[in-house]
Amino acid sequence: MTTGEFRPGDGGLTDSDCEELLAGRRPDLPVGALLQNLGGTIEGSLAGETAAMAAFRTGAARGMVIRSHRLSARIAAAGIGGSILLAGGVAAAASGQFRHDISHVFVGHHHHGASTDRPAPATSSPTPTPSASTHPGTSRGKAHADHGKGVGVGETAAPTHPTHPSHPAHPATPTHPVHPTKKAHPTHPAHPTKKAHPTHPAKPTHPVKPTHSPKPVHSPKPHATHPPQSGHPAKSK
Amino acid sequence: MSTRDFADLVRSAQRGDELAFQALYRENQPVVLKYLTAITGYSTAEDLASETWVSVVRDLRSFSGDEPAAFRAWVLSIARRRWIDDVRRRTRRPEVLVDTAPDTTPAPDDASSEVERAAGTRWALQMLATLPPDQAEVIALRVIADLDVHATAAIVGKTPGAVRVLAHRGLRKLAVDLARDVTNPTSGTTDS
Repeated sequence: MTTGEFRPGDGGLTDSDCEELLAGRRPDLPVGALLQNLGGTIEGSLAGETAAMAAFRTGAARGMVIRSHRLSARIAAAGIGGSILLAGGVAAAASGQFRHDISHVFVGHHHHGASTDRPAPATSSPTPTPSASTHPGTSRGKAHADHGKGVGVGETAAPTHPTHPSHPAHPATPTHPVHPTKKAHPTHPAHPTKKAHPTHPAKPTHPVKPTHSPKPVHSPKPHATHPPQSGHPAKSK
Repeated sequence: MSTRDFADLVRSAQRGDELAFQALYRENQPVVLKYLTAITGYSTAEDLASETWVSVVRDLRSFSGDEPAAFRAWVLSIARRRWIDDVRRRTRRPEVLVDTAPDTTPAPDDASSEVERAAGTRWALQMLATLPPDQAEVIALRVIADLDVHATAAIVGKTPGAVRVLAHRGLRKLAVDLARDVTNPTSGTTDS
């Protein structure tokens, strides 16, 4: 096409003619007659009606299927949501169990940690810890190796009493209400950090009261070379 | 048909009323077929018209409008998309490529063709199909679908001014071709 088509004389049509042709008001022109023929009907134009109606029926059925799919999707979503809630519940329960376990472990750890400050809770300590070194049965050799930094008589007497009779219960029980670092229990006269001297079983600042200790272990058992001397420093240093 | 009646018809079809859909089909299918014939030719128009109505069935629930012209424009926009899809399909498969331009080949110059010419509508559509697709499309939408310039512009994605220009160009070309046919009737609808 060329720009010449925009000239009024091209095809004998002006812009106004074109607009009138499009409006159907110039049937006298050849192009107007052609455009009028466009308004007619093509024979057999409805031949595809059967197929279109079949498509419509199929579409309607598909619509029902789609609705059922939507229902299924909702059910599935509800199921998934329920599963999530169930999983959450299980997780919550598990976490609660974990919390229980943790609290149990914490309590045990607390006991365990407390046992590190205590002289000899070894009978209830589940795992060997540094506090176990204060156990009479495990520390006595070390106590001897440390040349006696003053534990107690009981530790020196431990060989003859593997099980401490004054510690039968759980260390976390109120049988040990007093912190050993603050106040020595009569049955725990020796500070755990201080090693017992094999020849000085009794701590001078915490003299063992023979009448208060029911155990023969803590009782001032006479040493062969160093008989018990309450109130006298037993350190060899 | 009043706007209210047409709205009820559309709603009934959307609810699955076959008779309502049949009425819509019978009202619009001739327009769809002529529109597609004008831009693609007979060989493709019928298939595209069938695809168009399948799409109409699929998307009928999404249509919202109360005017017959709005529904017609909606259906024609679907037909146009099917045509564009067809052109793309043919472009992607060049080994079976058929000329995507409008069917510009002259109709067989035999007795049946003369009957079609005499029939008027098919002859007019064949003449229209000789135009460039954009011009033929605009004239078809303005004349066959009886859409105004704004509705036509909305369908083809052009400005109203561009639509006017295309329509005028097409009409002038038709006028030239018709004048040539008159002066040389044996030349057919196109130069070949």
